[in-house]
Amino acid sequence: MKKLPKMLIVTLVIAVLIPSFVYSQQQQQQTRNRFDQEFGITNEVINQARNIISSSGIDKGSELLKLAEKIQTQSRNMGMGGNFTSGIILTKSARDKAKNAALLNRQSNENENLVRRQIEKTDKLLDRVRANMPNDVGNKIESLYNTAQENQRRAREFYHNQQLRPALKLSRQVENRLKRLIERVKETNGDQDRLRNQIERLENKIIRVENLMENCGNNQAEQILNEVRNRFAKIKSNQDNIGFKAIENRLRGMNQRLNSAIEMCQDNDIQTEKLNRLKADFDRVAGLIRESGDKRAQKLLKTANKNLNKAERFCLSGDSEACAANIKAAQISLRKAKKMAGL
Amino acid sequence: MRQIIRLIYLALSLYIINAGVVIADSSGGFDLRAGIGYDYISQEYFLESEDTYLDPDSSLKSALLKKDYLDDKKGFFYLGYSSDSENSKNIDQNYEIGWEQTGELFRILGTARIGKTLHKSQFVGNFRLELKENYKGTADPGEELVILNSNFDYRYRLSNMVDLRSKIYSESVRFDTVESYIYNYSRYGIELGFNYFTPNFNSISFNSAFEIRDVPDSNQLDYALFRGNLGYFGSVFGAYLTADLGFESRNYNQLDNRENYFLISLNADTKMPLGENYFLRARQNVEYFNFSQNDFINDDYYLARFGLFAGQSFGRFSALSTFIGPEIELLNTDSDYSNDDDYTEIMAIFGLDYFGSKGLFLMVENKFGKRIYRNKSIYRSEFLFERANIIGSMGLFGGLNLDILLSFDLEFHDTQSDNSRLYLISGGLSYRF
Repeated sequence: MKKLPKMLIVTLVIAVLIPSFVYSQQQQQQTRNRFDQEFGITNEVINQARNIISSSGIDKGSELLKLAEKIQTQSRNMGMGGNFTSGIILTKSARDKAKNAALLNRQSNENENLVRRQIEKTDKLLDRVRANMPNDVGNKIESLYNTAQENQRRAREFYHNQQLRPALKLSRQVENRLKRLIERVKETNGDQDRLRNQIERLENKIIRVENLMENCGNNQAEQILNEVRNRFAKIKSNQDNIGFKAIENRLRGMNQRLNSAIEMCQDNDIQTEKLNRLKADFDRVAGLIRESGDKRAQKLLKTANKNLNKAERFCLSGDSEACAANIKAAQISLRKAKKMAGL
Repeated sequence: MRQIIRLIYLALSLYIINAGVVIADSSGGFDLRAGIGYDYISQEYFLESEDTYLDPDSSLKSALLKKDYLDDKKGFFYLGYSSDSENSKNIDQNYEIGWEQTGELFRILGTARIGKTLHKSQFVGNFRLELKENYKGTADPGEELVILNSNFDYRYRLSNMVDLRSKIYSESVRFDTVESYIYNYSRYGIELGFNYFTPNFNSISFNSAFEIRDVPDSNQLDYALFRGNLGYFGSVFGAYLTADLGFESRNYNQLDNRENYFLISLNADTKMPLGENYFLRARQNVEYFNFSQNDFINDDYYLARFGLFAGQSFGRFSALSTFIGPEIELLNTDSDYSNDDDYTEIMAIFGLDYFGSKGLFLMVENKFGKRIYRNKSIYRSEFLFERANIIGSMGLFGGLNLDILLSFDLEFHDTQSDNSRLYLISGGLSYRF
């Protein structure tokens, strides 16, 4: 009888202990599994960081990576001793450090690439500005350019000495300054090549229009040419006292005026040709119409003659519209006269 | 190197003596400029390195550090010669040689420009030499160097409307000591292009270039580069437009096309006059960078910048010009790994230019704004910034001139330990004889 309680107690104890034991074994196994998993992930991160650092050629982050590897070794020791929870904490710490090592190296490297690209970009801009700066640009602009060049040289020296932040900032400043300088040069001195080209071309155009005027006979066009010639002479003699933009605007205006004079002469040419052909036709049929005896035809002939004379006067004075209207009227009258005279 | 310096020193002395005689005669084209200057570049920032991770309790973690990159007083003189530009029969010549010295370093600089115009052709040759040496103590790596630049430019006027251009150029850089960042190299290139002037006086330009770089100590840093540019300058609907479309492709001598890239950029600047003194200006810059190999280091990106400014000009030839307006900058990385760097910067810009007639000029620009990182990252903190630049030059009396340059770049981060301040002060007092 006394044995029964004892057996019950033992059985109860065993009944409690065994599940606990089993449970704790299961927990331990789960923790172990988790440890293995975390440990494996950290190993991958460490390997990736090692590859990044070794392939970058830059040492930045390598000390931190070594620390990460040491902590990972400690984590392994913990695991081997069955202390999985501490092992998990350590391996996570190692993983953080390995990530930071890779990031430090990446930031350093991309900064190096970034700085190098910025320096090269500014160098190209310096070359471009120098190539497009006119010789007589003036001391101020030259001084600005020289300052920019000197600061770019300093930026390059900082880069060579691995002082990347001042190298980047300085080179960017030079780039911004050069862009402002280009704007300023274009606004004050302008693009000298372009301006010289514009002046030369306008000069040649004036000569062309002068040649055209010899056979044009359009007074209005001639007035325009004289006006443009005078204005152009004033600009050439007064260039230094007029801003670049003002010169350019005036040249454009003169160019447009010359274009309209050319159009007038061309219109004049066409009308003159029409008039000459009509006159030739008139001369050819006038005698025949008079001999026809048809009074209506003769009256129409006279009207055509009047219109022709008017057209000639209007064409000479440059009134192309009135000239064209009278040519048309003369054409109609002459055609009718020819029909009535049986021609 | 020292032998070369001695020879240059001797040549310079003879040059100066000769120039002194010619200046006395006052009919030559010599120009002498001498002066003193001061350069200071300093940065304040919190320590950011692996030290903070190695020892989290380190007192260095929260210390504000100040680093002076440059703090030099210097003296300099330059001697130049220009030929008589009025006489078109002469070859145009400009030479200049200069000596600069600080407490530890001296620098010899020489430039030469030779040009000749013959009917429709124009030839120009440019040369530049720079020699830097430390005469006190031991030189740091990269401190002592020789740089030689040269280019030959040929232009031909095909017609009133078309100019053709070509250029060959070279650059050679040699250091006394080489290291990972410091390497000797040579670049050689050729450029071809043309300018076309339209009937209504605008201009279109095209340039293309091919260049190679040779680095004797490392094959991997050699590259071949090709670039092209198409530009426009002229009026459009009453506004003045300057636009530039560029393309660049660079191929390094590395495995798997590492570091190879191509870049496309578009820059445009439009100025619309509003009445006699006012104007509106719009600026756009767009850039796309693509690396052949996407890796953790090299990310493709898009960068865009847009600004709109209102301004006013004053005085004869718009001597004084001011402008103000907002600008926005966006960076978008196209990365397989991380987009921590994507940001938007919004800023207000104020600028002032004064180009006076009595030797005074001043250029001021101030930017105030904020950078916002679009993808929250523990490695990046947003910040306000203040960036200012002041450049000025003033003729004092006679040939005496004062030049100053002041610049600072301040960042105020959400994470205080990321704050940084960069200062640059440079000044010079020179006399031109």
